[in-house]
Amino acid sequence: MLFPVTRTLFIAISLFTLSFVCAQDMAKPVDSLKQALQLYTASDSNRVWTLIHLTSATFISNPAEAMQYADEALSVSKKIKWQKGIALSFRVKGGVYLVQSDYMQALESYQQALKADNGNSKKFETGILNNIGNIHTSMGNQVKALEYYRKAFATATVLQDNHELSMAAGNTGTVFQELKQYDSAIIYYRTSLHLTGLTGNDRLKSNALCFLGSVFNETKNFDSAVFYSRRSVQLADQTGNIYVKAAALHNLSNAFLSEGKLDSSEYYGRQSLSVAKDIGNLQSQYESWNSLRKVYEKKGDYEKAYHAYNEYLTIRDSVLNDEKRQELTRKEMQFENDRKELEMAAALKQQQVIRNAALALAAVILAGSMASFIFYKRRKDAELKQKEAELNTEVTDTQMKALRSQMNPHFIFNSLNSIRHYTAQNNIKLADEYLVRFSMLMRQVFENSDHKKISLADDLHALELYMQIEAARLNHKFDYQVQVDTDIDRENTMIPPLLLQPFVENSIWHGIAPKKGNGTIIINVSRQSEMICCVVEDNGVGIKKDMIWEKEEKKDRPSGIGITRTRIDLLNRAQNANASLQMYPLHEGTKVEINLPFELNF
Amino acid sequence: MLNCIIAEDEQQSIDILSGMLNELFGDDVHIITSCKTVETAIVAIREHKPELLFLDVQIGNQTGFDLLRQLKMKDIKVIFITAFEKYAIQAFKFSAIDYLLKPISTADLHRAVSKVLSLQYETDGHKKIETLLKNIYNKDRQKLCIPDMNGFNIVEVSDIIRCEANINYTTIYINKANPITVAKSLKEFEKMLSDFNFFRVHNSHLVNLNYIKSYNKSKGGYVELANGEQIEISVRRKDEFIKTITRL
Repeated sequence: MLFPVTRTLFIAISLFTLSFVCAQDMAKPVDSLKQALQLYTASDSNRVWTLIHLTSATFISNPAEAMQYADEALSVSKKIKWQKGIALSFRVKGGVYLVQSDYMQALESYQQALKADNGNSKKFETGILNNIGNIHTSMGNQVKALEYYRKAFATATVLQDNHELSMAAGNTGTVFQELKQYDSAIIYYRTSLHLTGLTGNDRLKSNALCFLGSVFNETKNFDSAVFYSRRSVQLADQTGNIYVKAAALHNLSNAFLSEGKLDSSEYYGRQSLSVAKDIGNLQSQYESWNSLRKVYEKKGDYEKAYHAYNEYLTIRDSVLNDEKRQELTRKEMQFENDRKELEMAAALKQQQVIRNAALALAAVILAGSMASFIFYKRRKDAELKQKEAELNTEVTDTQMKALRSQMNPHFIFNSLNSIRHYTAQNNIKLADEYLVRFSMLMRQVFENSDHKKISLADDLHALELYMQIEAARLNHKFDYQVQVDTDIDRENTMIPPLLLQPFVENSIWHGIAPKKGNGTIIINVSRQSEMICCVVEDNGVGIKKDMIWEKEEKKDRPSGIGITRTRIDLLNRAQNANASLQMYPLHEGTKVEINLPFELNF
Repeated sequence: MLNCIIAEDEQQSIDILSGMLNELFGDDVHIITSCKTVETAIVAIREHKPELLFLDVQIGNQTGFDLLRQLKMKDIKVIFITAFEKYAIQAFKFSAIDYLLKPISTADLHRAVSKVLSLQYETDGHKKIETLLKNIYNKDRQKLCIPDMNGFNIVEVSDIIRCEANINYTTIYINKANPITVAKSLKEFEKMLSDFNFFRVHNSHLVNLNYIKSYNKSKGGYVELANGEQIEISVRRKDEFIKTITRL
C-alpha cells in the first residue's frame, strides 16, 4: 500500500495554495502584463511586481516561461536589495516547482522565501506554511504536513482570512483522507467549500469540489463523487484552473471505473492524462496511467494494460523515491540550522553594538580580556549543552525502562485473572495446560523486557503464546494469523518488546469476546521504505475510535495502550524518529497500525 | 520398571510430579521415596540405589548441586528441575544437560522420562554432570559441553577463539584444536557466552574479545585475531563494539 489511490488528491492540494498566489492578480490578463513589462524597463520594484504577476499568471499554463520571469524578479530584487521582492520571488518560484512536482526545489524556494521575509508578514507566512505542508503531504509524511497546516490554520484564524482558512481546511482534510478518517475529511472539505463561497473565488471553489469528489470516491459513494467532480471540472474550466481540472477528471475516471463503466472511465482517464501532460505535472500523469491500466485490465486488453503500467512505474519512480525523501529531511535540517545560526549572529551583533558604545574608551584595553572571556564562555556553554543532551538521553532511557517494567505487572495480573476464570469454569486438565503455557509466556516476557529492542521473531513468538493462552480461555472463539512480509528478516529486525500486546488484548477482550460467533485476529508486519509497519486487525464488534482514546485519557492508572503511546513518544524523542500509532474503526472490527523506524541488528 | 527418587523440598511439587508420573507411565515408573532435604536424599539414594533421580535445584538452604557433589555416584541418571534460577539454567546449557522448568509441562516430562526408559540416556552422562559441577563451583574456569555426532566435547570457554554461523549450524574455533561444528544457532552461543567477554561483531561472527589482536577501520572495519584471522565487523555493530572494547 505504498502509493494509495488518495495520492491523486495531492495534485489538487498544491493548487489550492497556488491559486491564492495568483488569485489577486487574475484581473490583469497576461498580455497587458507583458505590455507593462515593456514600460518598466528600469531595475526597480515596479518591474519586480510586474514580473511576479506574470509568473503567477503563467505558471500553470507555461511553467518554463514562468520560471524565467521568477528568476528575473529574483535577480532584480537582489540587485536593488529589496527584501520583500526577494521573498515574493522565491515564493512564486516555489509555486512553479510545485506544479512540476519538483518537491526538493520547491521546498528550498519556500525556505528561502521565509528567510527573506523574516516574519514580516503573517499572511505571507501562512501561505508558505500551507505550501510546505503540501510538499510533506506529497512526500507521504502526514505528521509533518499536519504540523504545518496547523500552524497555517492558527495564523489564518488570527488574520481572519477566509482565503487562507479555506486552504488550510482543505489541506487538513486531505491529511485526514490519507489517514482514512473520511468523516473528518468530509467535514474539513465542506468547511473549505463554505469558506470559498464566502470569498467568491471560483478557482478555490473548484478545488474544494474536487476534494469532495475524491473523498466520495473512497467512501464508495460514486453518485456524489461524480456530482462533485463534474462541478469541479466545470468551474476549473471556467477559471482556467487546469491543474484541478486534471485531478477532477481523474476522479471521474476512478468513479466510473469502480462502477464498471469502463468506456467512460477510459475517456476521462485519457482526458486527465492529456491535461496533465499539457501542464507537465508528473504526479497527475502517473496516477492517470494507473487508472488506465486498471481499465485495460478489466477490459482484458493486457497489452495496453502492460504499457500503461510501465508508464506509471517510470513516471512514478522519477517523482518519488527514497533518495528524494531523505534529501528533503536533510534540507529541512540544514534550513533549521541556518536559521538558528542567523538568529544567533543577529543577537550577538546587537549585543556587540551596545557594548561597544558603552565601553568605547575601554574597548582597546578590554578587547583582549573580552575575547578570552567569550572564548571561555562559549566553551562552557558547549560543555553544558553536551551534558544536558547526555542527561536527556539518560532520562529517556530510564523512563523507557520504567515503562517496560510497568508492562509486566499489567500483563501478569490480567493473565492470572484468566487462569482463575478458567479453573472456575473448566476442567483441571485444561487449567493445567493453560498454566504451563502461561509460565512459558512469563519467562519470555521477563527475558524480552530486559532489552530495549528484541528481534521481531522473539516478539512475535511471545505474542503468539499470548494469543494461544487467550484463545484457550475463550474456548477458541477466535483464531489468529501472523503474516510477515517475505523481505523482512525476522531474526535480524529489531523492535521494542511488547508494543503490540495491549492492542491484541484489546482486540480479544473488547472486539471478539462480546461478538456473536467467532472472530479472527490478523497481525501483519510489512516494510515501507525506512519504516516497519505492524498492523493488528480484528473482525470483532469494533470500538468507536474516539471512545477508546477518551477512555484511555481519563484513566488515572497507566493502561497498556497509554503506556505504549508514551513509549512511542519517548522513542521519537530519543531517536529523533517518527514512529506513530493509529487506530481506525473498520466496517467490521478495529485496525491498529504502529509504524516504527526500520532497524536491523547486524 | 524404573525405580526413582524425588529430591524436592515442597510437598505440593512432589505431589504434582508423582501424580503426573503415575498418569503418564503408570507402573513403568516406581517412586521409591521422596526426600525434602539434601541429607535425607543422600541416605535414601545410597540405600535404594535408584536408576533415576528427580532433582530440584533449590532444596531448602542447599542445592541439588551440593547433593550431587557429596553423592559421588557415577551411574545414577538425573533429571533436573528448576523454577527460575538463572545461574542454574546457564550451567545446564553450558553442560548440554536437559532440564525441566516449573511448572512442568506434561509433554516435557514425558520426553525426559521416555529418554531414560528407552535407554537413550547417554552412557557417559556422568561426564556432563562433572562438567556441570565444575562450572558451578569453579567460576573462573568455565567449561562448555559441545555435542557432536559421537557424543560431546568438553571445551574450556577461555580456549574458544570465535564462533561462526553457518545457517542453523555453528562452527566453534578453538585454540590449538580442531574446529567443531554443532547443530545449534549462533544466537544460542551468543546468549551463553556474552557474559564471558564474547561479542557478536557480525550476523555470522561471535568473537572472544580476549583473542583480538588489532582493530582496523579500513575496508568497513575488521578485527585481526591472535590466530591471524580477519573478521569483518558489521556496520551496525561498530559503535557498540568500540564502546565495549574500550571498556576492557
